[in-house]
Parts: sequence; C-alpha cells; structure tokens
Amino acid sequence: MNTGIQKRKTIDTTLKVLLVLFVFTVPLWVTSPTTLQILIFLFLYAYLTTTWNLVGGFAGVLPLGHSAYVGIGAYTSTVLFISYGVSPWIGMWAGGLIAAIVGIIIGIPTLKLRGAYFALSTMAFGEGVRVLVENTMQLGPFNINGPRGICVPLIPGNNIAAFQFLSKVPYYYIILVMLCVVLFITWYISRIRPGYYLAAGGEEPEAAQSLGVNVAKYKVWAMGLSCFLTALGGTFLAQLALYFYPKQILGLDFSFELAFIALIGGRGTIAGPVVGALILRPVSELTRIYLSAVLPGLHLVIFGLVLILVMLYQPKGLVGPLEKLYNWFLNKVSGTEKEVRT
Amino acid sequence: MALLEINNVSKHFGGLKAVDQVSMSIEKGQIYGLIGPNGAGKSTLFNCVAGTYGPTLGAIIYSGKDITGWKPWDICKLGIARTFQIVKPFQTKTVLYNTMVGAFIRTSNRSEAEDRSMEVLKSFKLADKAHTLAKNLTIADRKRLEVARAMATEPEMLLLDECMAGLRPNEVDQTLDEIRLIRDRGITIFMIEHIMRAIMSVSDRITVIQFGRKIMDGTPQEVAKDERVIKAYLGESYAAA
Repeated sequence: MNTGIQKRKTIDTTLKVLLVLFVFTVPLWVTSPTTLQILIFLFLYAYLTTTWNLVGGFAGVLPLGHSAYVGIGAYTSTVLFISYGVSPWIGMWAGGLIAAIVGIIIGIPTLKLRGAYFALSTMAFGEGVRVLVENTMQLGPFNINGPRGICVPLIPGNNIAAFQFLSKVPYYYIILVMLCVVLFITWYISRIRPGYYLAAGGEEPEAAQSLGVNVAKYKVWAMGLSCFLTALGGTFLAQLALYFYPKQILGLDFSFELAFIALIGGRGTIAGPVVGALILRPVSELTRIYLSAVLPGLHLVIFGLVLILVMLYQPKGLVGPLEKLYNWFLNKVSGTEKEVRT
Repeated sequence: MALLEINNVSKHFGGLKAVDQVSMSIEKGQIYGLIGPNGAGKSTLFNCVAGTYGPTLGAIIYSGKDITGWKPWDICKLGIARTFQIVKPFQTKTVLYNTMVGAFIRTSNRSEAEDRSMEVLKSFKLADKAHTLAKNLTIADRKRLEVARAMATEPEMLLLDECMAGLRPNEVDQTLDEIRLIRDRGITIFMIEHIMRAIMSVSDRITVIQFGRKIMDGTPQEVAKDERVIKAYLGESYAAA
C-alpha cells in the first residue's frame, strides 16, 4: 500500500513536470504563427478568466463588466506610449493602477448588492464605459479616437522596450509567464486568511460576518486586485494586436465570454479558468473560422449551448469530473485502488 | 458587574415593535435562557446583541463597553460568538474549512488555525468528519458544526439560537452535555431554546418575552410556576389550573 502511494506520487509529479515542460517547449516545434496565435489567445483568455475568478469565483458574485478593465489597461498603456513614449511595460502598471482604483470605486457600492443585481450593475458599468469611449474623440490631452479605436504605433523590428515583436514566440512566453504568475497568486490567496474569508463571505455572508469577517472589505480588495491584473492583460492584448477599438475590447460579449469560460471550467477553482479556456477557445476559434460567414456571433450561441449542457450535467464546471478522472487514472496505474486524499 | 447588560433595548421595523424596551443582565459564567412564544422577538434581540441590526433605542453594554450598533465582525473580535437558528454552514467547503474560518480571527497563520480547529472539532466529536463537505452532514452534525465554528473564534460569550431544534431526544441530551462543558471552560452562554425540558434543566436564569416585551425573569423554577408565563404559552384558560 505504502509503495503504491509512493508510486502514485511519483507518477503524479512526473506528469505535472512533463506538462509544464511540454507547454514551455511548444514554440520549439510549432512553427505555424496561426497555431501559436490560437494558443496565445487561449492563454490570454485563461489569464483574464483567472483574474475574473478572484471576484467572480472566490467572492461569489458574477461580474459581467470586466471588459471595461481590459479596456482601461489597453487604452492607458497605448495612450501613454503615443503621447509620451512611455514603454508599455511601464504603462501597463499605470493601467493596472487606474483599473484597480476604478474597480474599488465601482465595487464599494455594487458589491453590497446580491446576485443578479450585482451582475446587472457591473454590466451597466461596462456598457457605460464602451458608449463613453465610443463618443469621445479627445480625453483631456489624449486622442482616443472614439469608435475607430487606436493603432499602437509600429516600431520596426523586435523591440523589447516597446513590447513589440515580429515573431509570435515572445508573446507566447510572455502570456504563459503571466498566466503562471496569476495562477500562483490565486493558489496562494486560496491558502491564506483572505482567501478563506473571501470564500466564506461569498457563500454565506451573514455567517461569515458573525465569525469576524468584514465581508464587504474583503470583496472590495479582491475587486481591486482582480481589476489590476485584468488591466495588465489588456495591455498585452493591445501589444499583441497593435490595434483595438471599443466594440471589440470593451464589448459585452468579451465580458460574457470570460464569465462563460469560468462557469464551464469551474468557478472558484484554480484550474477552472484554464480548463474552461481549453474547451471554449477552440470552439470559439473554429466557429469563427468556419461559421462566421453564415451568422456572425454564432460562436456565442454555441457557447450558450455548451454552457446549458454543462450547467445541467456538471453545474460546478468540468474541473471536478476531470480531477476525478485523473485520480482514477493515477490509482489505476499505481495500483492504489482506495481513494487517496491528496 | 454583569458581563452583558441589555438596557431598555427596542427594535422597531416600521410600525412593528419587534423588541420593546427589554432589559436584562447576564453574569459571567452563567447559562442564561431566553424563551417566549413564536414571534416574541427573541431572535431579533439576539441579532441586536450580535450586531446584525443596531437597536432602535437602548444600549448594549459588554464588560463595561458600549457596543450598541457595532458591526458583527467587531463584536465577534471582542469575544461574542453566535450561531444561527437556521444553520448556515459553508456548504461546498469541508468541516475543517468551516471551522478554520472561525479560527482565523485569532491568528493569520494557516497551520495554527488548522491545529486550533482540529482541537475544537475533537471536542465536538467532529474530528473524523473534518474532511467531509458540510452539505453532506446530518442535521445534528450541522448544528454541532455551527457551534464548533463559533467556538473556534475563542469567544468569552456564546449566543446559541435554538441549537437543539429538530434534534432527537438523545441528541438533545448530548448537546446539553456539550453546553455544560462549554460553560465549565468559563464561557458565558446566552441561549434561545424552545425545548422546555432542555432550557429548564440547563439554565441558571431565564428571561421570558412575549410580543417584544419582557414578562419576567427568574430561575427556571420561578419561571415554570409563574402565571403570566403559563398564560403566554398555553392561553388564559390554563392559567388557573
């Protein structure tokens, strides 16, 4: 029995190390820029959903306006780059800070609302920001160009300081590292007091309060952190595409997609957003490639269908059954038949 | 000096006086009962003490400090823990997780919180279920978890809101033993209970309220004999008997 557990642990660790090695070596043998681009977007969505999950999963509310913070990140770093030549690497922190402040200001009143009311208020905020940006050509000294969006000025060649690369490979590694960092942050938070307090407050606010948790305070901090990290992803998106416009980056369907990914993968779990992105991104890309000529927006309909099926049969997301399958496989291979708690 | 003093506390909801000028004082180390017919305002009074609502009028003094209108989390930090009549476990979390949320109030260290929680769970005979999800517990275990979680906050005073309702007679006896054990550790208990046999046997003193007003207080023997209490519970016609 003991040797079985030992063996199980070895196999478990080996598989995880292999997975990490695999993910980090993909660009060595995948040369097609299209495939890399699809993977980059997959990681970006996993990243954004993980940051969304800090509020939407752990704090137990359903924010539906996170595209606003993606937009704040993209616009801030780009506008600073255009106007003052500030490197997007620095501009991204400025965007994060602004997003965090906005998130906290929005969060203080809205996080007191429950269920659908919070979701609706964040949605209204997200849409408000989009309409505002679409109707604003000049924001103070900055030209944000209304509905036409902004091009990030091209710098010839690979330029690390300008966050611009000719090949997709650097983008791949940047977003991969960002994803790893944000996954680590989520994992770490889930193991310390604020994580316990957030989850408790999300599930039974009254009980949490009676156990000494200032639920609103923790939710607001989570919102601030989530918005900060989301905006960093926004800068990455801007540098990857080098062009963005309000309807795309501030749109409602962007916000919805993040929520869909989290719900399908598993809200409030660490791996959920990654699993959700792994499942939904290919669906999204394939439908966009093959079906967008038939009906634009069809991918959202298909998302909806997948979501309904998942909610009906696996209401907690697909992470749970996948974990069970993985444990079953481990037990099978290492001969530990009895359930082993990890 | 009394540990908890409730001075002329009223709580109005619109025109309804749910609690109307109730006063009582609870000594350290007591088990203090609060009884009254359904809708008498017992839980509302509890909620005023625990900070869920601020009272409309009156003051609540805890070991010399005026805590009227304090927030629930501050009151818990001060040393008053509570349970809910309708238990509110964190369903999707384990029993240990539930208890650790309580334990984190006295430490930010995870393993310390875990150790303390395991100790509490052991004393409530829940240790073997530490890794069970709260939603998979029986109602008796859920009620016990509710108390264990509150005890993990290391309170000086524990408010128990009908922690025995819905239990079988032998489970009631077990809970009574646990309550006495908690008291023996120096923790003052203020409890609402509908099961007369239970509250009469365990309380040092009892206050009876009806329609938001205090009818009387006294020892369980005095309360059981009092005509006003019998009237409140059984109606006019039984009072003479």
